[in-house]
Order: sequence, then structure tokens, then C-alpha cells
Amino acid sequence: MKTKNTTSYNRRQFMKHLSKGAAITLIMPSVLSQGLTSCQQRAESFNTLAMQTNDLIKMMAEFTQVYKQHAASDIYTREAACMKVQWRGIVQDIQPGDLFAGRSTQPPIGCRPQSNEGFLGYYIHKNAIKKLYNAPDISAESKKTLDELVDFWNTENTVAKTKKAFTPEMTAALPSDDYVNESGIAFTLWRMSGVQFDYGKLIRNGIVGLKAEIEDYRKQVDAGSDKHKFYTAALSTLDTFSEVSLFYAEQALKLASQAGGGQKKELQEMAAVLKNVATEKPKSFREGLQLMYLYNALDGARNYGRMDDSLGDLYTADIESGKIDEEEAIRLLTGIWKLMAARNYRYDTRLIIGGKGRINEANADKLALAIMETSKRVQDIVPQVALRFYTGQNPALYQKGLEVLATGHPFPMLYNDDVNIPSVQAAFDVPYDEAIHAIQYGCGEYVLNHRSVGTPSGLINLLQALIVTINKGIDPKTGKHMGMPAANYAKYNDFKTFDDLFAAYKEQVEYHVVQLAKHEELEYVFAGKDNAYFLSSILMDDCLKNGKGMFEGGIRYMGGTLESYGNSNTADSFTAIKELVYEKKKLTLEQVRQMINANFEGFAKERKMLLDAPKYGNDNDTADQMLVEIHNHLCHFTRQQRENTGLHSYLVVIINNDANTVMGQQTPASPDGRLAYTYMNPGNNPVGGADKNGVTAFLNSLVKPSTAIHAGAVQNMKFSKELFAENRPMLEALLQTYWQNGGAQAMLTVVSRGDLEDAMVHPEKYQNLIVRVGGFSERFVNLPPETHREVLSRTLY
Amino acid sequence: MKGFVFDIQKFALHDGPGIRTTVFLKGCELRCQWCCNPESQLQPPQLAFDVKKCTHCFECIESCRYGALKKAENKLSVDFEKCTGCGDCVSHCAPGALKIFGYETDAHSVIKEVAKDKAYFGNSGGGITLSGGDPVFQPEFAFDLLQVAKENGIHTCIETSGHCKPEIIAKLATVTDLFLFDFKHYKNADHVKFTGVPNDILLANLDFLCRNNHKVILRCPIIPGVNDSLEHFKAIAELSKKYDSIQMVEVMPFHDWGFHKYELLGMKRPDIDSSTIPKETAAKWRDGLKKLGCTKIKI
Ligand code: SF4
Ligand code: SF4
Repeated sequence: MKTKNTTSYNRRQFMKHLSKGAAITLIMPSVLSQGLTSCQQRAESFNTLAMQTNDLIKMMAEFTQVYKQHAASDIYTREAACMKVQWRGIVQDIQPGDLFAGRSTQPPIGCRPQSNEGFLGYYIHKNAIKKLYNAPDISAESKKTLDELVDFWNTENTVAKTKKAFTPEMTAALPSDDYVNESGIAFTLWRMSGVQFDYGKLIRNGIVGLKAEIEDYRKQVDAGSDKHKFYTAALSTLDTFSEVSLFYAEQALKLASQAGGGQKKELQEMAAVLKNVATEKPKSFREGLQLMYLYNALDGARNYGRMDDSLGDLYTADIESGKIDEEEAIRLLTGIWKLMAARNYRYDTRLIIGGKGRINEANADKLALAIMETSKRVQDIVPQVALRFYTGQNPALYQKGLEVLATGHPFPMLYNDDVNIPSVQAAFDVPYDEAIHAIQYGCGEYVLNHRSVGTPSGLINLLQALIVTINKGIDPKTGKHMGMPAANYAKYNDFKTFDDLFAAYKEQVEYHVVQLAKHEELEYVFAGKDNAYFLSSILMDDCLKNGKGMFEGGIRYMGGTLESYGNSNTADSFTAIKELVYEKKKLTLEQVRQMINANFEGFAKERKMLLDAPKYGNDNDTADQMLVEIHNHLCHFTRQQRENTGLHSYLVVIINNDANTVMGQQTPASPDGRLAYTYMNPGNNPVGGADKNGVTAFLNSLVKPSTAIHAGAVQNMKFSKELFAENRPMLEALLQTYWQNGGAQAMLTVVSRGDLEDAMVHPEKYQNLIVRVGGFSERFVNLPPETHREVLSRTLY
Repeated sequence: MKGFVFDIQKFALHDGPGIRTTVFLKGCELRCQWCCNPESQLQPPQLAFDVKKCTHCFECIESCRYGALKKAENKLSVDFEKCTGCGDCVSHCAPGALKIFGYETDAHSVIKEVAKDKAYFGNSGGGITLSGGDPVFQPEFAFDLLQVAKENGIHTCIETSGHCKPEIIAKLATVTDLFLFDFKHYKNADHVKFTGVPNDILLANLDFLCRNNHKVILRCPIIPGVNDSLEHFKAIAELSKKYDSIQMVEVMPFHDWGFHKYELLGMKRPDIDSSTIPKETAAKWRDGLKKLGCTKIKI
């Protein structure tokens, strides 16, 4: 048993750490010391922060109590007070071998911009709650408490409040958010993802600097004003951060007292680091990493910005002074990589290196190289490192990137500044000086680093839109009406001409996009009504200046995005219909309708005709032009929606997580010959296996759809190991040409087909085979068979 | 000018320098016993039938005007003698068991397709390669293709046996940047035996090209039991020493990757030992050549 020894939590010491002279209303959690006591009580290994069921429910009850107590107060004060309770449900114990603190989880009830189970703001995770009910150690009293909590939050959570505000038109067009289990043309998404912080500011200023800035702002506003409350609550939230950091310092010291040798020293060092970054400016690379990671974990953000830029100076200073060598730096980075892997946000965890717009490029480049070397050695599915490059950049970075890719590791993803910057200028309608800050998050959506938000709040399945249109409003899967009103079809003359059909499809798409844009706006409004999201907003331009949370209008550019799926299948479907029905007249549209509704049963010959029609991905002008038309229509119409909303931009993203597969499983057979309930194409890629004309033709097709009208499109390319190993100069010439031709981005997987096929049979031998599934990477053996087939179907060059 | 092509392959890395697009012309006068592209030997389009894909549904039978498709013992039987290669049956076969090799096209359409990769050629020092079959089998078409390619600023390569009239080689040389020239057997009698034609004409053509400073890569398929003899290697080494114009010598170990196609085309599979040549054997050949004084071997 542990005694109450060593350094128990010292509130006075904590107060001393807080910035001097600041008049801060601290809403100190009264239970803080209780938390510690209970830790010590249950400590088998000396203390554990991870809460047990009843404690967790107690914490959530208290969180709810605090929330209710602030019914009459402003959202800022309420949020800051809630944060002071919530963090105890977030922090997780330091584990043996950890170099950094900041393991974290999400309590089933809480508050953050983006949380599990598709939530934002104040949330309740229904599945997690179910688990709590079933926990063996739950007490009867806790159950009762939980009943009350569920009852309260079921209506009080931010999503529920937003849903209540849906207009009838929105409800009609967007009936569901369950794209996994239901068929549909458009779905809503709930989260505020893709927030990319100004980590550079955090690291250059430290908590002390941030607070000084906030205090300066506060001095300029009237006491009692909303802004005054905003700044006060922001300061209080930073105090919560300090508290958490010190709390961890404490834990590290306790662990150190029990450990021996190298471990002891390591933990003591960790404690010293945490103690300093709790309030002060980080003085070393290690401190910078700790500050960034812990801040991110406490907020719940899932991406790590331009890490080479934010930490390059500290890295270089430490290397140059001899404080650490490169090996030590890689060891530290590996420590962070390990925590990222434990958090396991495989759709996020983006980390961007390289490119224009970094403050000290020379220093950043050095760190970028170390980051890639770390990824090469660790070979895990996160972080998703993305390398930006431009003509004139230090070539060592690009070369290092290829070297890592050659090992079969899917990172870095490659982003071509020469194409992306002008594209972002046009699509986002921002000047060059802002466009150079475009980076990606999540599955490849672009945002302007800490200047804009751009979360995708909806998705559209273009292929389903076409299938339903051909069926004049009936979803063949359910036999029920779907999409735009049946009466709207009357003007399209029974699709006598191709133009009639195409126009009807466009109206179908537009009918949904209009509401998706309005939904995005509505989601922001409600996200902003409930919270300032202080940890995020403090590091997002220009929230402090404006004295507002990012979703209340504090952010410089309030942008939104729409995920679109099935683009290539839709284009190929139209190509086949145009050729076979309207030009060669070998089939009627009615026949096509019957064929797809019958999943081609009894129509094998006709299906072959559809399959033999030209396909996107072969540098075939007919097929590619169709894709461009689909693309232009969707992107332009979506972009126009900023005029119908208060959004600075509303743009399509042609990204891919596994939604192409998941939604495909709900989508009937299509006129491109695709069978019912099978995957759709990933991202901007051709339909798997449809590209048969060689890699140069494939790449030439990829660059045809404009990059200047959307907020990101991903392309997956699979190359063989042999090509990388034996023909490197040719591979480089190939990529170089692709970039010159307008290639914006590439996700390369280097495998041999034999590897993939064998991995399906002998998964045990391929534990480390990682493949890209569009927007994220995964061990091949962990993917479901349907996704295996999708990955295998992509042509290997 | 029209001609017959059976494939256009992009991103070819083994038919000359850089990233290339290889255009395969149909038709060849030689009948090399190790030929891996049986579909390339005859000039007109040819039917291929893949019995493994056939479901014996007999949907195709009606579509053939020439009575080449029949039902025999509940299986589809193809009479290749009767087949004209018209291709009418192909679209009637849903499983894709019927396929036509070869189509007629013109030089401008082909080069339009090839020119789509010009930027790749530029960055890698690549271009177009005419292969086959043997491009000299359709000399006017080959000339047209190369001329249009040159007009488009594309580097040109031609892979040939060199077995043709001297005036053909001379004319092609005016529009060809690099010859990939086959050398199959040093001994005339054996050349006849294994390829069906003598080697004196092609050696004279090689001599012509080299004396006129046309760039040549000598491609030497090595087939065990046919030409893996010391004398043949000596002859290769001698040629490489004799002509400065020969930039490089490529030793191409025999493989049988295309042999399954004989069956599809209703042709007799070559009677030749088709075991794959181990890497070490190929390395030994290259070593041997080096010892014989050949300094231009491609690794
Ligand atoms: S290619 Fe023409 S002739 Fe030959 S089997 Fe088919 S239909 Fe008959
Ligand atoms: S249609 Fe195709 S599958 Fe049917 S018998 Fe003819 S070749 Fe065989």
C-alpha cells in the first residue's frame, strides 16, 4: 500500500505558478483533493487517474450540476466551470515507458468541439452510457444518477437542440444521419472537426504569454460586458490547463519515487517538464512537445498542425547547443507517436510538414526530416504525416519522403504547393498570403491553418442521387420515395433526351446541397450558442481579438465543406447511358432501370455492354469529360451556397475515409455495371480496376477535374515495390510530370500484389502491412473483407 | 495510311530509354520458336477464345455468320479455320471468353494517343517505341507512325528483327532515333531452323545502320538449347566491338509468359523447354560476354 507520501497536490504551489498579478476568478474544483484521495485509496499501482464507474458517474453528475447552476449565467463562465470538472474524466495515467503525459479519453457526458459517436458541444455518448449501465461495478445509486443524467442530456445536448431547429425543408432533404445503416442521397454529420491550432503561438508564448495577451484584451473592455466574461473565462480555462499539467507532474514524481535507475530519471525529467509548461514558456524541444500534446489532448483536438514549423526552432536550438542529438529527438518523437497511436484517431491525427508559409523554414526543414525518420522507424498508422513541397524547396525533404514511402509506409502523403496555393486562393477566395497556410486535416480537407474552420457537416452520395432519379424518386432498395418531390420530375419529358436526364439529376443534387449548406450553417450557430470552446478558440485567429468563440463569429474565416461520394461511378454511369441509350440506342433507359433494379440478374450481356463503355481513369476524353462535368456542377453549385448562407466558403471535398465502401453497401446496382451493395470509387480515383490504360493515362485522368473549385480531393496510387526499388529515376520522372501537369496531391502505397492477396489468406504474416483506405491508413489485416476487395481492386502500377 | 495494331502500352520502361509508349504492330515474317507474342504473328485481327472463362451458354453461336462457333458435346467449340476474325461474336459473350486481337487504325490516331504522354517522355528521356510483331512487316505504316511522331517532337525507337529489304531499313532510319535490333543466331542455317528466315539480310541491314552512324541497341534473346553457345556469345561480342554505333547489348533471357496465348488463338504451343531461367544463369551469361570483350552490356 502507498502512504500519503511525497508530494501531495499542493494548491498553494499551484497558485504560485499562475501568472503574477492576474485577478482571476478561479473556480477551483472542490473535489480535486477528493479525486486524489480516491486515487490513493484504490491504488494498487500507486495511483490511477482512470476513473472507475461510480466515480465517473459522480464526476458527470457534478459536471451536470455545474452546468445547471449556470443556467442564468453566460455560456463562457459556464464552460470554464464545466471544464474544471470535466478534465478529471479525460486524463489517463502515465504508463510505464511513457516519455510524455497526456493519455486521454472522453467521458460519456461532456463538452468538446468534436467527440465520439458523432457529437459536438455538450454531448452524450449513448453507446458509452450503455456500457456504463452494464458495468459490473455500477452501484444502484449510480444507476439512478445515470438515469437522471441521460434524461437531462438527451434533450439538452447541442445536437438535439440543433435538430429541433431544422426547417421542414431540411428535414425532408436530410432525413437521416445514419449513413452506415440506411440508404440515402444526403446525410448530416455532427462534429466540429478539422480544427488546426496555432501551435506555434502556443509554443512561442507558453501559457504565460497567452494569458498576458488575453489580459491585455480584457483591459480594453468594460467590466461586466460579454467580452469581459469571455476573456475571464478564457483565462480560467488556461488555469485548468495549468492545473492538469501540474497534476501530471505530481503523478510523474510519484511514479519516479517508486521507480529505479533510468526510469526514475526519466520520470523526474517528465515532472520537471510538466511543471514548467504548466505556466511558463517551453525552453526545450521536449517541453514544446509536451505542451503541444497535452494542450491538444485536453481540448480533444485531433490534428497537430504544422509541427515542423511550431517546434523547429526549439528542435534546432537543442541540437545546435548539443543538449540533444538527433537520436534523442527521434526517441522523443517516438514517445509522442506512441501516445497518438494509443488515442487511435486514424481518420485524423494529421501532422503537416514542409511547404510555404513557415516562419523559420531552415529550422523547420531539419525537424521535418527527423519527423519522417521517426515515422519510418515506428511504422504505425498514425500520425498521418503530410509533406507539402514546392519548386525551390530543400529537395532533401521530398527525397526523404520517397525513401520512407519505399519501405511500404503510407506516409508522408504528398501535397504540391505549386498547384494547391493558387487553387486555394481561387476556391476559398482568399489572397496568396492566406492561401499559403492551407493545410489538411482529417481525411484531406483543406483549412487555412488556424485562420479558418471547415468541418464537413454532411455527405452526399451522387450515385444514389442518379439511381433515384432514374427511378423518378423511388429508392430501389426500400421501394419508398426518396429525394426531391415526385412532382419535380414532370418537366423532364420522361427523360427523352440525355439532357433531360442530366438536368433531373442536377436538380436532385441541388435539392440536397441547398439544405446541406443551410445545415452546416445551423450547426455552427448552435455550436456557437452553447460554447466558446476556449482551448480551441485561444489558438484560432481572430477569436481573442474579436472576444468571441470560433463558432460565434470569432474565427477569421467561417468555412464549411461537403463530402461527396461515388463521383467516378456516377460519371461512368452517365457515360454508359449516353453512349448506349442515347447515341447508339442499343438499350433503352427503361431497360437500364430494370437491369439495375434487378441487380443485373438475367442481364449479363447487357451488363457487359455497360462495363465495356469508356471509363474514367484511362485518359479517355469522353469518359473523363463526363467526370469533369459532374465535378464542375457539384463543385460550382456547392460553392455558390455561400451566398445563401453566412458562410465565408462552402466547398466540396472529394476525400475518402471508408464511406465510399460503407455507403456503397447501401447503394443499389448502377448503370456503370457496378453490382448492388458493393463499394463505390474512393476519392478522386477511378472505379477500382476500371483504369486499364497504364499509370500515365491514370495520372492524366486524375488531373482533369479542376482543383480550384473545391477544398481537397484525394488520389490513391498503388505502386509496386519493384518500381520503387529498381526504377526509382523513372518513378521520380513519373511523379514529377504528374505534379507539373497539375497533380495536387498523392497518397502512395507501395506494395506487391502478392503481398495483398497473401495477406487475405494468411493475415498472421502481414500484421505490419499498412494500406491507405483513402483518408486514413489501416493495417490490411484489420480491414473487413469488403474493404479488402476494394483495396485489391485498385490497379497496382 | 492505315495499319494493324494490337496493343498500345503506356509507361513501358524496358523498350528503350525513359518512359515510353510501345505500339505493337501486328504481323511478322519470322516464326521464332520461342515467340511470346503469338497474337502478333499474323497481320489481320484474330479471335482468341478463353475456355476457362466460357460458361458454355452458347449465346454466341447465332452471332457468327461463318459457322465458326458450334456446340459439341455440350461445350462450345471454335473452328479457327473458319473464323475470319470479324469480331461479331465478342459482344455476345458476357463472361468475356471471346476477344479479338488487333484492329485497323491510322497513324494520326495512334500518335494522338501516344502524344498524351509527351510530358512524361520529356521528363524521362523517353518516347515512342514501335514493336510487334515486326514493324518492318508493315513498312509504310511504320514509317508514317514514326514520321508523325517526329513531327510531334517525340523521340522514336523501333524494335525489329531487321529482316527486310535494305531500302525499307534505309527509309525507316530517316525517322528513327534508336534501333532495338534483334540478334538471334550467328549461324545462318540455325537462324533458318529456329526463326524460319536466314540472318544474312538482317546482318547486312545492321551493317548499313552502323556504318551510317544510326544508334543501335543490340537485343539478344538467349534460349537454352538454341543459342546459349559460346560461339553465339562470341558473335555478339564481336558485333559490339565492330560497331561503335551499337550503344548497348541487352541479354534477354527466354521466358514463356506468353505461351498460354497459343491455346487461346487455336495455335500449337511451341515445342521448347519452357522452364524459367534463373537469375544466376542470366548473370553468368552477362559475365561470359564481358569476358569475351563486350563492354556495353546492360545490367
Ligand atoms: S470472330 Fe467472327 S468469324 Fe470468328 S467466331 Fe467470331 S463471329 Fe465468327
Ligand atoms: S457466349 Fe461466351 S461463354 Fe457463352 S458459349 Fe460463347 S464463348 Fe462461351
